[in-house]
Amino acid sequence: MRARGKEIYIITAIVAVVLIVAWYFLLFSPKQRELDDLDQQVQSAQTALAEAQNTVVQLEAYKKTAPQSRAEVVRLGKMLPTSEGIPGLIIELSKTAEASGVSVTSIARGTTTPGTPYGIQALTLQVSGRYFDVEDFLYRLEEYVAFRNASFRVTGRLLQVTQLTLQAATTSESTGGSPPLAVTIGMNAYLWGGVAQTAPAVEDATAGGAQ
Amino acid sequence: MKRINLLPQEERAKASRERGLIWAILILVAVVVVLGLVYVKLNSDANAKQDELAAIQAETAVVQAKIAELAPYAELQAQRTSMTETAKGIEESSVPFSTLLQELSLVIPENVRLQTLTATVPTTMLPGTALAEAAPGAATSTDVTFTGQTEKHRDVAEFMTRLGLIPQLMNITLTTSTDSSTASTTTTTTFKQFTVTAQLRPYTTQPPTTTLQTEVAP
Repeated sequence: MRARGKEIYIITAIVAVVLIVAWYFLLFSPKQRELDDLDQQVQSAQTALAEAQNTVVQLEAYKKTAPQSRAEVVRLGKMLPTSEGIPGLIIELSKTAEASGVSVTSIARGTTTPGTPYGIQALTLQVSGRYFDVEDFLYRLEEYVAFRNASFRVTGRLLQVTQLTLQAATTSESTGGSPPLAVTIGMNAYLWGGVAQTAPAVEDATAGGAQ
Repeated sequence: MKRINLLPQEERAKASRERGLIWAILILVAVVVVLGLVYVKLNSDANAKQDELAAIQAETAVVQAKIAELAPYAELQAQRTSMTETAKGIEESSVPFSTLLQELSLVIPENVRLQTLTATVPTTMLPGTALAEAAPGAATSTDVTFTGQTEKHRDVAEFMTRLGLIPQLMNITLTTSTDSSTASTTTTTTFKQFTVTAQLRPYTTQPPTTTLQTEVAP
């Protein structure tokens, strides 16, 4: 039996449709999906590249200012050292007391608690002097670190008075003016980072205060 | 002139069928060719994308290597920023005791003599783990205590009023103001012994916090 003209066209159409459907599902569709995936990968890779390039630009800027940053870290390390630096602190406090006209009668080291980002080092100081000399002493302590015009002026450790007791000294001098006072100052000094050394054998470059 | 098909009827049908078959084959070939071309185009696009992706990844790897090379500068910058922010926070949260004493010297009445002054900064105002440790009743604590002597109770009142002028102090409260006397060989002096308390005014910004580890004993 031979196919007639019309039947040939119908068979051709069916074969063509089958071919197209098979091509679509077996070749076109997977390839299209692969292309979409690649598109997405390219997009995310481009985003990652752009971010990385931005980071490089930022890092290049940091590299340019690295000398200033290093100097700043050393300067900031004077007020926030990585070790206790007790000898330097004693010298600082003694000089300040001398300049203020008060005398330091005792310096007692309290507990040191390392922490992240900063640790706390407690100190108790006993000084004797007249009211305004004590006030001057406290002012000088506060001025070790001063934040002025968006930058720090650092001349010593970052100290914070936490406790203050003023009382008339038992041995009064009758020289007129304000009587001598016995002053107890509880204060916190601050350390950078979690490392605490009771006896700093080797001082870090950023530590040490005015040693 | 009129054209006349001289082929017999049978041959004519056969020729028609053959033409149809040729057309059908041609159509199928055309379809296959078109589908093949589309597929080749897709494949070529995919290869191009693969190449593009590989190029981007290679460039990213180069940039990442550069980032790794420059990483110490980022650490340095981060340390600088962190130290500055921490120090600024601590410095801003300090109670200026020198200013407090200066202001006290300006406001204390002439007849009032202070014997002791005790001030303790509450933990909520101190840097460290103050935020976590802040007790609910901490706001009512006594931060500053003044004890002294004066001649009249009115002087105590004036002293309290003037203390209110010091911006760092608030909640100035009288604890006691009592008559006392000291006797010497010739005279007996009477005076009022008083105790006044106050609170330190908290800062609007909280002091910086830190995660403290175990304490190192002195």
